[in-house]
Amino acid sequence: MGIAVHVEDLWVSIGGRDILKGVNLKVPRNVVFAVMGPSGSGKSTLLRSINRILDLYEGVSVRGNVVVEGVDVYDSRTDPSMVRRLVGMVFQIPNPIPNLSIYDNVALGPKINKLVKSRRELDELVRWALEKAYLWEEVKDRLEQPASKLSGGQQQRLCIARALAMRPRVLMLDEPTSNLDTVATSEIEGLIVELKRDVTVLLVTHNPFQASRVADYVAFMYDGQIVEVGPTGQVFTRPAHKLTEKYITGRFG
Amino acid sequence: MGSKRSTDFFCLASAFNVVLMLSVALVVSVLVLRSLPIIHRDGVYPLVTSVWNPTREEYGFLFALGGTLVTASLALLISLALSVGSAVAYAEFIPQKLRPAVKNFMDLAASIPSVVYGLWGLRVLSPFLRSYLMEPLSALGLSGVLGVPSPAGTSFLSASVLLAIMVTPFASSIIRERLLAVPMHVREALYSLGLTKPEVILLELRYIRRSVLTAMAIAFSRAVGETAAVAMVVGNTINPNFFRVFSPGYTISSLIADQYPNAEAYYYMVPALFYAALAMFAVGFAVNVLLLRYGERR
Repeated sequence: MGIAVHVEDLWVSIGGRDILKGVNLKVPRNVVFAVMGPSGSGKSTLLRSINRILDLYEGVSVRGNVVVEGVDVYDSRTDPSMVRRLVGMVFQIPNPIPNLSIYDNVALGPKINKLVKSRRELDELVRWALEKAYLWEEVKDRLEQPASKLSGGQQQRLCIARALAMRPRVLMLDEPTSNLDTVATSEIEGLIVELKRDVTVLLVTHNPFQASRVADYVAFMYDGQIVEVGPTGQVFTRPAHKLTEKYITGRFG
Repeated sequence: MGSKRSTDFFCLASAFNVVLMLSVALVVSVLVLRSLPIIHRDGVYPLVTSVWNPTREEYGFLFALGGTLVTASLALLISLALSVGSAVAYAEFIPQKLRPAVKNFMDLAASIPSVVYGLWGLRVLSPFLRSYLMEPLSALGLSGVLGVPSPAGTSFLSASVLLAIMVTPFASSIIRERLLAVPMHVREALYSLGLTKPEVILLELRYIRRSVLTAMAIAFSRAVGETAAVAMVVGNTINPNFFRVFSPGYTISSLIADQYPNAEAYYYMVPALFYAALAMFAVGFAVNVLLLRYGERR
């Protein structure tokens, strides 16, 4: 079992303020790896630095190393869009492209990046991705409808399908259920567990119970640093750190 | 239902609306009424002929109608490129710190009086276009198609370029604001799929295409109606070959500005000029409706 994502002494500041303060992380392949921690601990920034979405923001400076599947993310010769094809991302707010149809939302990435050679191949890929995201049965008869017509949970599964259609090696999910109700949340959680057969799943959540439900490994993050990492069972039953114990027992966060 | 204050506000707002609609109706009815004598005498004849001979009371103004359409359409195309280009540059490439300065400069450009643009167009732009664009292309043998440049460079083309420069600040600010309003989560979604910056920009423009069309509709209306600056650079010559954009000619508004001072000396020239104005209004209105309809449809 190799390492999918390797973060080494990563420092990130935004507008002169340090957000990540020397983060180290090794994510093994084909597991669900959850990063949990209170709001403002730097979890989202960590994800955004792994696929260089952080480049879109002004006043960001990054120091340290990130290697994804052998690709040195911050090497000057590395094309950020290549990194983003390797690492799919699902965001906190379900964000289908509002003016595109359900089909086009999933097909957009593969089409523009020329991952498929024919319309038939594209149709198959879209179907595959929607099936993986457990959305196919619900939308197969209305693929041409605008994505904005779907419910919140369906939109988030559409975003997962959209990311999967790029055949990424790593799928990052940034608090994917924080805007969803309990039913939609448990659907997405079930899906996350299934997905690790195909991709490495890196999940960020502010909810320790969600981490304990879906993750094989968890990292607890606080104030821009990783406090503790380990197999989920170990961290939740025998936390090595006082802060972790307080967090997982719900005393803050 | 609401309080007394909100009913008052509703009444006031409705009243303003009524006043606005009445004034438009009034303007149109004046245009129609004043052009009735010539419509009665000549019907649609002035719209489809290019014979302008006041001493014989002949007033075919197709040359000016065509000139208006050609200059405004050409201006629209140039301004589409300029305004989309500058809006994209502003939203995507200019650092946050420099934006206020650039924005103020653009707003300033929008506030320059059109007669100032006209002077600049006459003394700088027209001679420049003549020396560096029209003359070289004519030398290549294109004057048969595009016309022979005048000594001062005054021409349909000069008017179009000048109009494009004049309307771009308006059109660009509409596109710019909409581009900046594309939600960050949509941009993140697009970039997270591995799209490159040009690919994302094209998709964003597609996303806001309705605003682009609105901007173009406004630009076209302004270009059709713009008078002072155009009258100074278009050459004011009766030129039925209005597709020869290197040559001077008339637009409707420059025709009215140029001819109205002597119009009272003739029987039918005032009605003819009102008729021309009515035709211009109709064209501008029709293009606006078309562009906005097209934007809504998809």
